[in-house]
Amino acid sequence: YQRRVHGGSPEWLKTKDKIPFGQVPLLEDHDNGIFISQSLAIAHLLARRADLLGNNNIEFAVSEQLVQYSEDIFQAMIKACYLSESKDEPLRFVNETLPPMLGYLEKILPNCLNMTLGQLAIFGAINFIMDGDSSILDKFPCTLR
Amino acid sequence: MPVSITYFGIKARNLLPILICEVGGVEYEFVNAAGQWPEPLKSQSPFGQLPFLVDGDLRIGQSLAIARYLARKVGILGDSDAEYGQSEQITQEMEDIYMGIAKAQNSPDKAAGYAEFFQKLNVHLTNLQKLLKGDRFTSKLTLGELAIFSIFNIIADFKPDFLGGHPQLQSFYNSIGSIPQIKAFFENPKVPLNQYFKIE
Repeated sequence: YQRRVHGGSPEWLKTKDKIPFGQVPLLEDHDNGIFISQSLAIAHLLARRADLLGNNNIEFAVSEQLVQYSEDIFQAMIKACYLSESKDEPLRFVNETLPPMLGYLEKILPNCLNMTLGQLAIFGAINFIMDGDSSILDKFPCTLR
Repeated sequence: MPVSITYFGIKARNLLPILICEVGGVEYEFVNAAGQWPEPLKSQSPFGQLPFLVDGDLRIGQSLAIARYLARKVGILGDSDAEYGQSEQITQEMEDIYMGIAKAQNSPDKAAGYAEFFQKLNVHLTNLQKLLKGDRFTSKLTLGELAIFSIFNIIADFKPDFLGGHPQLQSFYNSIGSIPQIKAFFENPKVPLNQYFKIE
């Protein structure tokens, strides 16, 4: 379940020091002695429990590279759209940076048969970007599917 | 058939996957990209980047995906959920530190870039030290421990005394470094381990 803590509140400031690396999100499972941060670590642990890490080493590897690539896409988007002061950067991201990245996905995604963490990670990154521009997948039918 | 790892002849993203192979007894061959990059290797790489790994019909890019795949083959991802969670979070912490070094290396004013890195590194080291139990992060060797060992080894190349303020982390580093396969590898490395990250 979710516990919300507002940044800057006294409760957050008390909690921050106890959190590994002092960052959210944080996953707590007291029954199993788990108290971890780092969003990708949390995602991996939950995926392991939900059996979404692939049925064999090969599916696992393909899923893992999609997880990492979703981070690359996400970081490129954050850099262009949130960390940059220029108004051209977001457009450049959508028109120049993103299409080749989606091109690589077009080749890899059709080979993915079972649902894995990797596909969820890609879905998450693209979903976030599509909030800003819903046309980005127009030329990438496999990724859209 | 051995797995092949294709990369430049530098320690940077090479060390972690190779240490996993050495510890786990996975036969590997290293393909040096020198003279073959960008072509023909770029077209052979899943995301147009290095490193990439080939194992039979499998070809994957993304260095952490390669590391996790090898760690799974070797059985060091972490047995219980708690060990797995711990290994995963320190692996991601390694990645944060690595990106910090890369940012410093690529900054227009390298001296300033590295100065900023060392300030942030102190925070990382303090947080990591809190996660140690004795001189280890997990009760058995895991990917996370090899990840932290490898990034410490890379930093030691350009700042040998960087663990001075964190004696427990130094103990951890010594502990992993004395694992027989790792010790033997550094005494006689089978791959080039040139230093890429340099302060000046």
